[in-house]
Amino acid sequence: MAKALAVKHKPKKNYRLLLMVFPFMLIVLLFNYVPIFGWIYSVYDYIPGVPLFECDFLGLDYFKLIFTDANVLRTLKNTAIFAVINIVLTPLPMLFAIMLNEIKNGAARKFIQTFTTLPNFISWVIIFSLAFGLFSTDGMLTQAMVNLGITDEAKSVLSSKESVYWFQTFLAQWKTLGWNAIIYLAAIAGIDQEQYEAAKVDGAGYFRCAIHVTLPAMLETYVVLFILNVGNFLNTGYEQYMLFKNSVTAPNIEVLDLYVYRIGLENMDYSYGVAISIIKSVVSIALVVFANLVAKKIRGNTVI
Amino acid sequence: MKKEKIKTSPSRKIFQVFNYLLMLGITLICIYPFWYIVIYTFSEGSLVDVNPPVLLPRGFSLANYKDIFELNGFFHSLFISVMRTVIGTVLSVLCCSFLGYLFTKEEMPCRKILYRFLIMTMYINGGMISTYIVIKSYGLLNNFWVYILPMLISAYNIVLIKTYVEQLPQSLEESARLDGAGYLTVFVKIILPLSKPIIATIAVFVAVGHWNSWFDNHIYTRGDENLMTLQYLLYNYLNEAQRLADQIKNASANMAGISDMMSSISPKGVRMTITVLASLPIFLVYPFMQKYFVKGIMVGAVKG
Amino acid sequence: MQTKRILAMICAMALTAGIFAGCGSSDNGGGSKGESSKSGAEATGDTSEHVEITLGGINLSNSDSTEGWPTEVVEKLEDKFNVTLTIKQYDNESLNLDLSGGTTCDIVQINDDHIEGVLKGKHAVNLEDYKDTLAKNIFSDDMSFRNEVMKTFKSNGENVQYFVTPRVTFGDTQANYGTVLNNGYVVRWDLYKEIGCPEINNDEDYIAALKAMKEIYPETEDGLPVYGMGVYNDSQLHSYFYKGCLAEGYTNLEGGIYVQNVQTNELLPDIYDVDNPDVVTPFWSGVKFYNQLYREGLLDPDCFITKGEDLQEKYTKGQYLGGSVNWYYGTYNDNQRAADSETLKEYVTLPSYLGWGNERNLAGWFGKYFFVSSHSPNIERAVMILDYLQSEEFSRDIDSGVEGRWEVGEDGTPALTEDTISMKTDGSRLDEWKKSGIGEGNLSAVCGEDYYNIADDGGMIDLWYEDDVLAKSMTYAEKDMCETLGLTIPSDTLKKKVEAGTSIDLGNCLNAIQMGLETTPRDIVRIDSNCEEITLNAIPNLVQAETDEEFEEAKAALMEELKGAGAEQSVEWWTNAWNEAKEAVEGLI
Repeated sequence: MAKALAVKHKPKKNYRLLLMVFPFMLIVLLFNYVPIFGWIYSVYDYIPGVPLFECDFLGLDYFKLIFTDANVLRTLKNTAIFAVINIVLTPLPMLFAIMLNEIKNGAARKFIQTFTTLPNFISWVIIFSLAFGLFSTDGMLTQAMVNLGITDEAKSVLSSKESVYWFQTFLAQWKTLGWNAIIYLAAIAGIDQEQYEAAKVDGAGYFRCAIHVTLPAMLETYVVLFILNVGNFLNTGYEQYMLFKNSVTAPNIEVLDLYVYRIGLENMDYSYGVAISIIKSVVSIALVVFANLVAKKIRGNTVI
Repeated sequence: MKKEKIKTSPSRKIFQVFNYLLMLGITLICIYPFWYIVIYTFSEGSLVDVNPPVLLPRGFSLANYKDIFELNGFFHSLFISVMRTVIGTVLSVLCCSFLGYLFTKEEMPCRKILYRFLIMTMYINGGMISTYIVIKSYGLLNNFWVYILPMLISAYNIVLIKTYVEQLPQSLEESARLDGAGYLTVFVKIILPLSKPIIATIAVFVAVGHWNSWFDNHIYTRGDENLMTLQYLLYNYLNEAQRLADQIKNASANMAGISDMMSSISPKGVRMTITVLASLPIFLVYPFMQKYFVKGIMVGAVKG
Repeated sequence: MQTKRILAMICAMALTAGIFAGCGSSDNGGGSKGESSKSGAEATGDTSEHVEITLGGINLSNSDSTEGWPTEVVEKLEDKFNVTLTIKQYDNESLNLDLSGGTTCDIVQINDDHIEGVLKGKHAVNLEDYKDTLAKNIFSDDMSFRNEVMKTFKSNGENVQYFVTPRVTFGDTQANYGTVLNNGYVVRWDLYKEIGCPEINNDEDYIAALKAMKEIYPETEDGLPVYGMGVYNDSQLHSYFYKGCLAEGYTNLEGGIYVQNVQTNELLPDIYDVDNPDVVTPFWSGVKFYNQLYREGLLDPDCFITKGEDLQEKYTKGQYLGGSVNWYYGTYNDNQRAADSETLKEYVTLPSYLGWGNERNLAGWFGKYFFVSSHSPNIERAVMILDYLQSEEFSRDIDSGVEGRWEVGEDGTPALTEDTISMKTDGSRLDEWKKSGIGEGNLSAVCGEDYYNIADDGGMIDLWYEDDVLAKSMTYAEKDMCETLGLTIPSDTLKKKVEAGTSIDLGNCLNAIQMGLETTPRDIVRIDSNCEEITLNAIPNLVQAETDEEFEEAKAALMEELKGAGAEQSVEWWTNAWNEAKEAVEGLI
């Protein structure tokens, strides 16, 4: 893009393009924006089934409640910790893709590539039950640790408050690493082979090829995904945490999304749930805008 | 083949060994849990209850699969699932890639605004109830297209494609445009062939998403049995197993003899079988798609 | 420039939103207009046209995935009313959507959470319009108490009847306790016999028995460690307060924050017990019990992470000696019997202070309310079906099979045929059993009458509860138990204790009071939900307290935290609401 800008000045606007984009944007409008009218539920005490205007009008009460609700504050702490860890670990799939690319045996590479995506298909319910088999007090790994003398007392990592952050992160990475690497493998495949040839002619070895050709080619994808990820700061999901939550791990594992789930399903507090989701959207968009501005400062052009 | 010329240095060898070991380790911890699930589903139910399998099934039984194949409407729901996956994937990939390409065109009026308008959809949603009312007002309840249309335009996929296309050499397209080719021609003749890796990636994402989704079936098409997808059929089947288990919980004393029912169902076995079925497409489609990942593209080939 | 454009976009969005909000709400209200034009008094009961009737309910499951559907019982219904009956499963989410969109099934079963939405949104048909025409079973004299409760408390003050409940117990019904008990002190029969069947009258006796059993059975045949008991953690606090309810004589309101004394029907705050220092509430009784187990080394060290499924697996492996409910050990018993039909290795349940039997649901089961949807295109037929579901005929069908599966004998009383009884236990006739629809899980929570009600022909609704049938269904271990303890059937352990006055049953418990409670306000719901979470998180410190002092400290800390979360406000609301409801419901009897 930067190259293109250097070559010529601002291109002439072509209104035919607008016409071509129109049908697609209409679909986006119809399916993604029209339902936003549901945000209006947040200012009512909405009871599903009752016509909206017969419900009590509450104004901004629910929004005020968010800022005084001790649960929100408490769960925000955990959400932030998980989110920061996840953001720090975002390069992992890219590194995995580069390393995998260094496996020069085609069959082995295909094999690894296919089979590392499998954990993505295992639901959290099953992951919990597998983890229980391995990590409960009688579990295989816990017992093995005792037998090998690594720990002197059989204590399950599942009922350890201290291990929550690293253990849950490990599980999440295990589940998604191979799957998330797919996109970077595609980026590698998109590299023009001539660039490698050129580098080799310059005498670059495998390592320098990786640093000077592969990595920069993936960086654009990485930066874009990184910025999109920053927007998901508060969207940690709830399923994993719900399943691994117990009375010991609860203080460290409860995240905002899990609390929202409780509000909606157990308390049937639909309007409050909508109010929180509006605030979450605002925060997300603010974060993306901010990250985009930072990227502009550093790189000179915006990503989004 | 020029690349054979690169000398293999000792440090390179050490790296290769290390890399192979690392990949082996990652692959193993990804495969084993899945293998465990597979052998669990082929084991005899009464044996694995007492003693879980380790490397091979305990006993051998196809009961888990037989039960599923014998479900009412299994083949019809399989047909619907295949249809929605194929139609949904083809349409979505076409739309997303074309739109992604259009968004790289700087001569598009309001490009940034429209693009951001699209990106925003990743962070906002109106909530389930308003979305339902909207879908209903479009006449899409109990309609096959409700599987396809809302998932047609995915901001995330468009971002990926746009990022990828922007990295392609501009020269090819420019020369084609000078020859008088329209956007659609350039897209079909030049962009599509060069974008095979990313298109394959997105196809995998979308196909897996379609194959495994049941929630839209659950809320939008529950009224029409002819539209039941395989995943929803399985979801109901799992629910039935779960419900029988739960019923025992909620039962008061007058539910005598209910423990007899307990033995015939195991939600765990059902869940594991569903996992195996859910991951089937990745085995069927992914290796086929992988041929687009293996080698980098040759821009020269398209040029000529 | 750009900001202006964005502003314009937002305005356009808001406009569209407004339009659609309008559409949505007019949709909601629109459904109720159809049926009022036609009064119920003119209802004809015409069934000449074949129609489809859907019954959707929370905790029901789709009939598509029910084996043997349509069962003999359903076929009979379908022929009778010229309909095709389909059952749909609802969860809270999908029911909310259907209510918002006005797209509900013809007949709907909801729980208390949705009552307000259904009434205020006018989704239900007034059944009283059909009182003398199509709904005679619903309005039969035996159901009058239930009907009064529905009219008084579930009509938004209109005093008309929209809802019916399932499994109504009639006033003169005499219950029995079934063959075996389901809740109480669980023991492994072989081990219990081996330690000499010591009498168990309270938690101390029980812990002593568990200890003695562990001494002779420290690990399973496969070498796995054996524990006294475990805890199921996927039902919030249930494991704790339910154990205590049995020991102290209470039933719980949902969530277990409040409990009802089964003899006086008074309400008691279960966890926040500062106002009742002399009473041991179920929750504290249960927690104390588990703490005792912990100190004796009898508690599973994984007790904070086991979910029901894990618990079941451990039972199946024989790793537990006891328990308080029968939900998890069925597979173990089945496996042992399959390996050796004369095995004594089987879990059995002995009564605790409260024997969970003789439940009298005078207003039907709590938390299940059926109504006919005003959006239904076939309201009349739906009313007829709902009325039939409530009938004695259908209730008998679902529990005992259609006529022919049972017969009226020479003495004039109905009894199950030998063939039916043998079919239940004969594994090779499983398909036939499922097709018969006897005891089919979905509909047995739908039909109108209690198992023990006496039908017009003199037999119980559920003929499996007749004395001679009960005795036939015992396993070898259960027979051995009866022989050893001098009983006719295992549940006689409870009968004897109730007669001796050392145990009680649910005979005096008026569970209809719960139906008289007004809707819990949102702030109280929020407080209760927080209190539940706070208590859950405090459990490890309580259960793992090494000394009484530590336990009291942990309890004091919890009380402080609950107070901060507004427990007092909640107690005040519940006490008032309960007293009002109690007075009102008792006034209806």
